[in-house]
Amino acid sequence: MSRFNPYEENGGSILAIAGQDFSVIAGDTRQSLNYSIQTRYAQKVFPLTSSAVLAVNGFAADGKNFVKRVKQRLERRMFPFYVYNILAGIEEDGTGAVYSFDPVGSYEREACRGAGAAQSLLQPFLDNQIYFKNQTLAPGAEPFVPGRLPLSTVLSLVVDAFSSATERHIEVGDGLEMYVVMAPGRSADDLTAEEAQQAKEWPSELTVEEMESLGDEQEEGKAFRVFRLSRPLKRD
Amino acid sequence: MEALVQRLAPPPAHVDPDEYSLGGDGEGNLNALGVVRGMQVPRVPDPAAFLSTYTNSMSQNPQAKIKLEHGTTTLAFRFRGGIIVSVDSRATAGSYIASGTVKKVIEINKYLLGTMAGGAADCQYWETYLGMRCRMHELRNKERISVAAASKILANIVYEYKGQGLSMGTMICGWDKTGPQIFYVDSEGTRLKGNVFAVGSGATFAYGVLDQGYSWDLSDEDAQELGRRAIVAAGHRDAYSGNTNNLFHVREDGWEFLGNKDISELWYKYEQEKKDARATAGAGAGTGAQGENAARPTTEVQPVPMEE
Amino acid sequence: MNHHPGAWGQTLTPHQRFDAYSSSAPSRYQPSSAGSGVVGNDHGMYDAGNEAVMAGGTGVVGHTQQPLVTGTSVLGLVFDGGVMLAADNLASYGSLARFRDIQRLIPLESSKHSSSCLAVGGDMSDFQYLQKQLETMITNERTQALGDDHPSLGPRQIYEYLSNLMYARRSKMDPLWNAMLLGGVKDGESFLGYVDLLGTTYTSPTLASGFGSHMAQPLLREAYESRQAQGKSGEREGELMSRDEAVAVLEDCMKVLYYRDARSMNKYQIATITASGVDISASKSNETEWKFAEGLRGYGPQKQ
Repeated sequence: MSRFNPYEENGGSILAIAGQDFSVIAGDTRQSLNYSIQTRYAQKVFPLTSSAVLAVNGFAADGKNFVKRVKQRLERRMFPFYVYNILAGIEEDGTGAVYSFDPVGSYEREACRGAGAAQSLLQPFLDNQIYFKNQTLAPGAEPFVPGRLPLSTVLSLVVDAFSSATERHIEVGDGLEMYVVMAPGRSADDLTAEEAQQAKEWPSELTVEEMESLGDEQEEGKAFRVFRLSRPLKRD
Repeated sequence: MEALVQRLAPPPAHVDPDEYSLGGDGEGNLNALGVVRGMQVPRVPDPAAFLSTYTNSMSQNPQAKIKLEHGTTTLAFRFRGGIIVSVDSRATAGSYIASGTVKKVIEINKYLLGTMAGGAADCQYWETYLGMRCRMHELRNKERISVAAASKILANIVYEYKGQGLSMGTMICGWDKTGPQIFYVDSEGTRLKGNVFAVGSGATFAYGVLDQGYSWDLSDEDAQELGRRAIVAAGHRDAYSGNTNNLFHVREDGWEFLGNKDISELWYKYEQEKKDARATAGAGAGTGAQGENAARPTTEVQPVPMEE
Repeated sequence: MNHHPGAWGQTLTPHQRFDAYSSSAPSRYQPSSAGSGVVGNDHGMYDAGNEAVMAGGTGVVGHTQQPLVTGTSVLGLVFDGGVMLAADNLASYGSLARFRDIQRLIPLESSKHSSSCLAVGGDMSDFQYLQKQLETMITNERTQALGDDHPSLGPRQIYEYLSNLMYARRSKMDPLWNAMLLGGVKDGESFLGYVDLLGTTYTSPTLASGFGSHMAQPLLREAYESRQAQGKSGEREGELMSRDEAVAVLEDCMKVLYYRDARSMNKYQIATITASGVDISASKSNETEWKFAEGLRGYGPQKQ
C-alpha cells in the first residue's frame, strides 16, 4: 500500500524585482491541482510588515500555514514546508530588495527572481531584461547597470512576464496581483498620477490602490508606502 | 527495528553543554540563551527516509518534489602565505539552474570562513549559528577561538543530527595562534585537518588542477591564480558548477575578498592565453630553434587542442 | 488487521492483535495497554493548535491508513440569497453500496447573525469524529458568547478551525480522510470554502469535491458565469442565480454525477443556507434516461 503523501503541487508562479528605491512583487491567483483549477482567486502575495511583502508558492496548505507562522519565526528542516518564498521590500538603506528562499531556508539577495511552476519561463526573461544577460551593448552606448529601471518599465515587465507565462503554462493564469513597496520620501507620481497611467507603457486594465500601513506607527513623510495592483490574466 | 531505535533514542535537540536551558522563548528555533532547541520532525518511523522521499536531500531520489539546492565546486588550500578559498556560484535544483549568484563562502567572522557545499540552507543556518558560538567563546575566554575548536563545535552539532537528513560539506578556514588552518567537516560527522581540500560535484576537476600546481612555497599571486584556475576547470567540466568564481585570501590579519569573476569569461581568457603562448612559441621555433624541432622524432603525437 | 466486517468490534487477544505486517500503527499513547482491549487514540483530547511535536517527544509511529466507508463528491454554489450544498445519501464500502440512507449535510450553527452548514465526502468514521469535534467547539463558543463581548462564531471562523484541524492532522501524518465544503451566511455575506485531508483550502462561488470537481464544477461555473454576464449586461437584474435556478443547476449536476460516478446514488439532499437559517431538503431523486446508453460500450451488456 502506498504511503500517505502529505504534499501536493498547486501550481502558479511568483516573481519579484527590486528597483533603486522601490520593489515590485507579484503572483498569479490561480490555484490548481493536476489539470483542475481549484480556484481562480487564491492569494499568493502577502504584505507582512510596513516595508516587506512575502510571496509564497508551492503546496498551498503549507504556504498558508507558513505565512501564519512567519510571524512566530518557526524554523523547520526535517519536515520542510513545501514552499518557495520570495520576500520583497525596502532595506534599511532605502534601496529596493528582493530575497529568495528555498524550502529549507537558504536565502540570497537578488535584483530579481521568478519561482514556482513557470520559473523556467519567467527567470530567463528577467535575466535578459533586468540583468541584461546576453544583450550586447550598442557601440558607444552607456553600459548596462542592473537595478536602475524606472517603476513604469518594471511594471510592464512583470505584466508581460505573467501574460507570457499564462500563454505557455497551464498552471498560470486567472489574475495577477502585484504589490509595490516604496522607500520613505519617494514620490508615487509614477504610479498614481493620471499622466503615468495614460502613458503608452502603462499596462492595460491595471487597478491601483494604496494599502493601509502595517506594523508600527510611521512618521508623516517618512513612511513606507505599499500599493496593491491587480489585473486580469487569461482564464483558459 | 528503526522505529524502535527512534523511539528509544534521546531527543536529538542540540544542547550547548555549557548552557543551562531556561526553557524560556528566544527567537524562532533558539531558546532564551540562543541555543538551538531542536527541529520539528515528521511523525514517521524513519524521518530520514521520509526526507529522502520528498526531497532530493540525499540525492537518492531525483524525482523528489522538493528540490533543494545542490551541486557545487569549492576548494581551499593552505600555503606559505595563508589560505586561498575559491568557490563557484551556481545552485542547481535538478537540471534547473536555480541561481548563478550564490555566496558559497560564509563569512563566520573576520578571521573565519566557511564554505558551502550540499544543502545551502544547512550550511547557511549552521555556520551562522557557529558564528554565534564563536563570539560566545571570545566573550567568555577573552581570546579568539581556534579553528580546530570552531570546526569541532560544528562537527559535534551535525553529528547529533546524523542520519536525519542534514546535508553539508564544508571547509572551516581561518588563522589562529597556530597559523593558517583548514578543517573539512561534513554532515556524516567527518572532521579532517589538511592542506588541500576540494568539495562538491566538481571537486575531482578542481583537485586535478590543484595537485599539478600546488606547492607550499607558492607566491600569493600564484596561489590566488591556482585557486581561480581550479574553479574555472571545474566550472567548465562539471555541469552542476559554474557561473562565477569568488576568491578569498586568509592572512594573519583576517580574510580578504579578492573579487567575483565570470567563469566563462575566465575560461576564454585562459584559452586565449594558451593560444597566444603557442603562437609565440611557434614563431620562436620557426626562427631560432629549428635544430630542436628537427631533433624531435617524427612519430611523436602532437597535442591537439580539443576546443577552439 | 482483519478487514472482514465480521471481525469489527471484536476484542482480540494480544496474540491476535499482533500483526507484523500491519499498515496502521499500534496505539501511540498506550503502548502498555495490552490485554485491555482498548484501542488507543488521541481523538478525545485532540488539540488542533498543538500539533507541533519536537523529535523524541511522544515517540514516532507510522500511521498510514485508508478510507473504508466513504461518501462521494459534494457540491456547493453561491446564489442570491446565500449558499447551497448538495450531497447524495450513500456511504460505500469499497464498491458495495453499503449504507443507503446517510445524511452527509450537517447544519452546524444558526443564529440571528449567521448560519453555517457542512457537506462531507470521504471516510465516514473520520467525518463522524469531525462532527463531534465541531459540535463540541461550537457549543463551547456559544456558551462563552453568552457572557461578555466574546466574538460570535461565523462560517469563516468555523472554516478556519476546520482548516487548522485538517492541516494539523496531515502534519502528524495521520490525516482525517475527508474532502468537505463549508457554506454559510453571516451578516448578509455568503461564504463557501473547501478543505481536504491535506489541509488544502480554497474558496470560490462554485465548488465541488472529488469526481464532482471534474464533472460538476464546469457545469456550475458555466451557470454561475453566464448568470453574472447577464446581470452585468443589464439583460437581467442582479448577478446571482435565484433559489430556483440554483436548485435546478444542482439537480442537473447530481444527475450527471449519477450517470457516471459509480460510487454515487440517485438519492440526495440539498442544503439551503440563508440569513434565516439552514434548510435541508428531504431526500430526492432525478428522472433518469438510460436509452442513450444502449449503444455505448461500458453500459449494460456488451455485444462484443
